[in-house]
Amino acid sequence: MVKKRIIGVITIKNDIVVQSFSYSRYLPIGKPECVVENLDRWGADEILIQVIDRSINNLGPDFDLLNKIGRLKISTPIIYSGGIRNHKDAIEVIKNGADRIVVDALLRKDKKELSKISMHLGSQAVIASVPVILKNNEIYFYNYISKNEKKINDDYLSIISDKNLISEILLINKKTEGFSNSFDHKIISLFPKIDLSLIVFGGISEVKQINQILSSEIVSAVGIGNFLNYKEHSIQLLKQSVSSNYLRKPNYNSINTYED
Amino acid sequence: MIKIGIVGYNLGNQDSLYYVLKSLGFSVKISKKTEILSKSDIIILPGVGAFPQAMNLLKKNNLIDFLVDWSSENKPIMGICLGMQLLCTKSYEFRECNGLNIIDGEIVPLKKKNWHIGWNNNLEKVNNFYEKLEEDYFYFNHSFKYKGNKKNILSNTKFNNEIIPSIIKKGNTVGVQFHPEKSQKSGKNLIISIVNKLVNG
Repeated sequence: MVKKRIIGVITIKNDIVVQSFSYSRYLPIGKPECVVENLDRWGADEILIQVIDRSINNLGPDFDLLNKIGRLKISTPIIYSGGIRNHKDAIEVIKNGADRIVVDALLRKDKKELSKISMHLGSQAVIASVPVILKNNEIYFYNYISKNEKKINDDYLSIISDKNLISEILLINKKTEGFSNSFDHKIISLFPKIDLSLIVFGGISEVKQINQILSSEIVSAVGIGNFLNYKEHSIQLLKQSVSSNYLRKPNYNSINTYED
Repeated sequence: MIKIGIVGYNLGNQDSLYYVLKSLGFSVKISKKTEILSKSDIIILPGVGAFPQAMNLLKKNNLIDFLVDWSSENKPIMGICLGMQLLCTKSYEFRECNGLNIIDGEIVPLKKKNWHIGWNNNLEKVNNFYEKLEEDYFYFNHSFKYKGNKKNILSNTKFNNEIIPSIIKKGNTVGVQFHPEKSQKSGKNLIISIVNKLVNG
């Protein structure tokens, strides 16, 4: 039986990993390679690397970073997010070591490019990022480029629910991101019903909370960011505590070294 | 040292596969040049992508005849994920499209256009490729599956009550539907086992 996943989320800004709070306040953590190595060694089910200053500055994907991470010889699936402008970028990102990509700005800008990405890479490689804010029991989509929020309209919904383009939704609680035990479960129930699984992220840290979220049939994975950096072997410790029905057993065996 | 040639046809996660194989102690080259690939003990056909595009790239790089001839001489090939699917007769991803036809069988969509994404285990252990095949979990990420001769199926996995062939084999050609290079210790052990058994018998 396929297991649900714990995804280690790494947020990168100005070339370093940061502890992010609502994507508006940041504290430095360190070198991306060190954090990726840790998550691989601790047995994360996937690692999401989100480079948050690429799209907004029109820099394209961070291929240098992907190359550095590739050389670590890690054997955990990598999801990459940040700066993907077109299908050529997407293909290069996969070629440089990512297994899947996250798109956000492209969802609103260029459906043709999305179709091309799917034609080249298959939609199983494409995840739609949907940052949302919960207000008065309603879900609002948050545009991190314009810094505006608005209700999810039918056009946007038709793109993010198109199984020919997208395989999973990364549903981000923007406001609670970075704050312990703060993810509001209502976001899952209020999100429009579509035939795609959700990866949920933003304020998820506690075992009870993870069990509750993973009990939703629509949820295939939880993303955890800041809280994994607080202690050694944090993923194994979480996996030992979360219901074993949902997750793969903890893994203690990955070994990383740099190549001379 | 076993020499592995990765078919570098510009589609898929060839770089991460390269580094993982190097870490396992193999001599590894990525190339689309047949004169380089032909010096390998085993060819690995990787793949993250869509079937028709991948076949176009193999054709464009004049690799189709090389791979078919290689297998007809019973030399070892391992296909990973899309690479496994390319080894088969045809696929229906986007449109009907012929594959390499090294392993007879078709690639068809999963029920309800589902994706099988995540870590899953295998239901059977066959040919002693890997002792812990039933216990260990491997990383899957696909929406199409093999449908063909049961004799070619070494192992299945189960997803939403659907049986999905996870390892197929014909002659000295093996295809795995999952990504062993992204399956941590289980995957690395499986790669070592498959490569050694295909190359050394």
